[in-house]
Formats: sequence, structure tokens, C-alpha cells
Amino acid sequence: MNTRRRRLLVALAAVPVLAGRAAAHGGGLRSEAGASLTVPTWLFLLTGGAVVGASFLLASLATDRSAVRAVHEWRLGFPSVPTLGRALWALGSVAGVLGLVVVLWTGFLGPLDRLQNAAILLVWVGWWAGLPMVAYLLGNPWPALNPIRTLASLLPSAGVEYPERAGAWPATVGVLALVWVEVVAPLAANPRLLAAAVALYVLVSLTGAVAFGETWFRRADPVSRIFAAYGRVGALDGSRIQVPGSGLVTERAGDPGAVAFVVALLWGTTYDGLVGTGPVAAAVQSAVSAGVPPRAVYLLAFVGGYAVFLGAFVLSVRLARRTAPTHESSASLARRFAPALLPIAAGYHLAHYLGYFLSLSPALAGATLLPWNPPAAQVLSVPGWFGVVGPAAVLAGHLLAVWVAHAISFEVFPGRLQAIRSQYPLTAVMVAYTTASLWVITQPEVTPPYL
Amino acid sequence: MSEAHRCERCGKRFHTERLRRLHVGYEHEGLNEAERAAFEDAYRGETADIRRFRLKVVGALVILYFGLLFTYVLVA
Repeated sequence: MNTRRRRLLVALAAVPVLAGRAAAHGGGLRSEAGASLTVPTWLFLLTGGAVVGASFLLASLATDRSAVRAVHEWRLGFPSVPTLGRALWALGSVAGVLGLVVVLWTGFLGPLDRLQNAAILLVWVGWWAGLPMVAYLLGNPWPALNPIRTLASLLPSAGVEYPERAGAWPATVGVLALVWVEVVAPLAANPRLLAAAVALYVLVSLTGAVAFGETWFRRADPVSRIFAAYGRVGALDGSRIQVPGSGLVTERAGDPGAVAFVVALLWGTTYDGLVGTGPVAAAVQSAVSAGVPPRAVYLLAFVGGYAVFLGAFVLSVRLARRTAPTHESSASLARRFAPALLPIAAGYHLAHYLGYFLSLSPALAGATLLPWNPPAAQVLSVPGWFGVVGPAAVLAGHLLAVWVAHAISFEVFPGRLQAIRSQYPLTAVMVAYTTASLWVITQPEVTPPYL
Repeated sequence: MSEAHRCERCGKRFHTERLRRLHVGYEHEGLNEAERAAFEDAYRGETADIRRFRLKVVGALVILYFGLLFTYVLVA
């Protein structure tokens, strides 16, 4: 995100603002959070980790199975209005296709000014920052909006059977590729390049959809899977309200590679932030001055970091077999507990993008309503207290994750103490992860060197 | 040892007899008298253990809270 956010926000400097200080807020959330700290950073991080640890201890007091289950089975129903649902769906489909047309058209032919170009703003501010928030706060809007799905429904289907062994691996590789391209390529600076990338993705995804039908979106398409994963965190179950995260408790990361996919989503959001921190930039610089090509350094960090994340999760699951103790296989436990990581990814996403989304939403509205002749771009200035939102979102994500993991453990294990003990390793990983991600968002943002 | 705690109905293995009995009570229908009694016995035994565990949790929370409090007093 840094790269893209930096590039967009650099452009802000020359732009009239709605309320004064936006240009000075160029660093956004992260520098805000850093500046507002009056305790040393290590103590702030320690406190964050302690909050997650304490929440595990508190959750462990909830040992009444029926009470735990009542939380994730609670629903508040609305009378469902099928006509309204269909109308909204149709509206979404039309909006999705129109959005794609606008992105391609203004991307290839529209204004080059990033803050006036509807393609750049729709993709990064609307789709990459805003839409996941809708998914993990409410529910997944992508099946209705997805223009590729709408287009594919108009085409004949080849009816090829999706290879079972492929599972979630295409989506996992897709997520990692998406994050990698987003970090290293100037997709937020150059509308033409962005439009070409979108066109390429549409082509690939449309081919997949025609070949495999609906299965493509459910299993292989990285974008659909990201939104589906975030959507299960949300507070809506169809038209009914649920306790956030309830959808994750009964879910299994079922197909091959599904655990790797969840971890890829988590690592992707983290890497994005990590490359914009001072110490990481310094490390990159010293590696490059030692003679390693810059891209190789970034790629190595990207792949290596993913391996560390995946390794930490797998290790925690292996250890859980001993602390519980249980004869359940590590693989089956990993599939069961992987969904508990999704609230963490959601909280981290919110911490990173809420300020960005709000400050650029007037520009997004202006450019989307008048793509051919956008008004002078305006940005919203977020108030100073907004720096609190980042750490709060990270913590909220972890607290939800602790609770979801607790509820899952009570579904999996017959013993109540056994369920609690199975959570020791995973809680340790979550505490470490909270500390690390709080560190990332409190670091002043720097420009990643050589990108 | 693992053979000793195998569920007769589904073949699942458990580390302790108590876990096996709890599993039978939760997962299987139509328990006979002996199975029901074994389940209730295991459940009561577990409840006693949980009571002790809770004391440790409260102790840990107190240590965590005051540990942080004193750290803040010393540092900030």
C-alpha cells in the first residue's frame, strides 16, 4: 500500500483541500499514531500484546459450551424480501459492469492526473480500500458486483471440471502475485498501466469462468476468494444479523491450499505495510549496497516472510496437538483454526486503509460521477484523534480472532480444559503478531527505496 | 496406551479415559446407563479441574494487570 498510497498522497500536495490540513497529513494514519504516543514504543507494544493475552485469559473463563455456542449461533432475522434482494443484486451487477467500463475507458483514455482519474480512484480507493471494509464489516458484496461474473453469465460455459488437487492454490498464488505487483509496479501512478493490468486480469478470469463455471469464482479466482473470506468476518449472514466472526467458527478451510490462502492474505496486508517502515528500508538499502539487486531483495523478503508466517501457524498447530493433547492430525487442526486468522487480516486492513479511504473519498466521488470531465480533486482532512483508529482496529481484529479460535476449539475438542490448552500456542503466535503489526503501524512511513 | 482410549463406536483415539468418555457423551446418540454415568462422572471431574484452572487464570490476570501498572508508573 505504501507505494500506492505514497504516490497518490504525493499528488495531494498540489490540490485544494476541503479542510486545511490534508496535505500535511501526507503520512496518513501511521505518522499520526507515532506522533500521538506519549509512552515509549516498547511499552505501547507490550501493552498491545498484553491486551491480547488478557483477552485469551478472559475467554478461557467462558467454559460453558452452550453459552459459547449461543454466541455464534445467534441471529437477528429480518423478514427477507426476495424482490428487494433481486433488485439490489441486479443493481449491483449493472454497477459492477459500468465500473469496469469506466476503469478501462478512463484508464486508457482518461486524464493522467491521478487524483482526477476515475480508474485509479475506483480501483485503489473504492475497490482495494473501501470494498473489503464493506465485506468484513457487513457482508460480501462482490458476488453481486463482480463484472466478470456478470459477463460470464452471458457467455456459454465450457463445463470443464475443476481439478480437485488444484484447490485454493491458484487463488493463493494469485493473492501473492496481486500484492507483489501492487507493491513493485507503479499501478497507482500510471492509469494506462493500471488499465492494462485490469484488462489482463479480466481476460484471465473470464477465461477461467467460461472454462470452469461458478467453481472458478468459488475456488480459483483470488479476488472472489479474498472478498468471500472477508465477508465471513462480517456481521451479516444473508439478510440476518450475526455476531461478527460467527461465520468462521463452523467453517473449515476445506480445499487443498486453503490454509496457505488465509496465511497469504494475512502476510500480503502485512508486507504492504512492512516495506514502508524505516528499519526495513534501511535493511533493504544495506542489502542493495552489498550488491544484491533491489527487486531480488524485495522478492526474497516477500517469499521469506510468507514462509515465516506459514511456518509460525503450522508450528502453533503442531504444538497444540501436544498441549491439548489430541490425536487429531495437524492438517485437520490447521484447516479448522485457519479461519480464526481472518479477523486479524481484516483489522489490519482497516487500520491501514480507513484514513486513506476517507481522505480520498471526495476525489473518488467527483471522478466517478464525472469521469470525462472530473472536477478539481478534493480531499477530506482526517482529524488528529484519528490516529487512535489504527491501533484500535488492529487490537479489535485480534480480540475477535482470540474469541473465534476459542469457540472453534470448543467445537473441536470434547474436553473443556483440553480446548483451552489447545489455544496456548496459537495465542502466543497472536500476541507476537499483534506486537509486530502495532510496531508497523506506529512507524513513521517512509518511501520504500528503489521502487 | 492410545489403544486403551479408543471410542468403541467411531474408533477415534484419545489421550485419556476422561476425554474418551466426554467424546462419547457429546458426539454419540443413544447412550446406555454405563456410558451416561461415565460421561457424567468425567464431566464432574473436569468441572473440578476447571475450578482450579480458573483460580490460576485470575492470578495470571492480576499479575498481568499490576505488572503493567507498575511498569507504567516506573516508565511514564
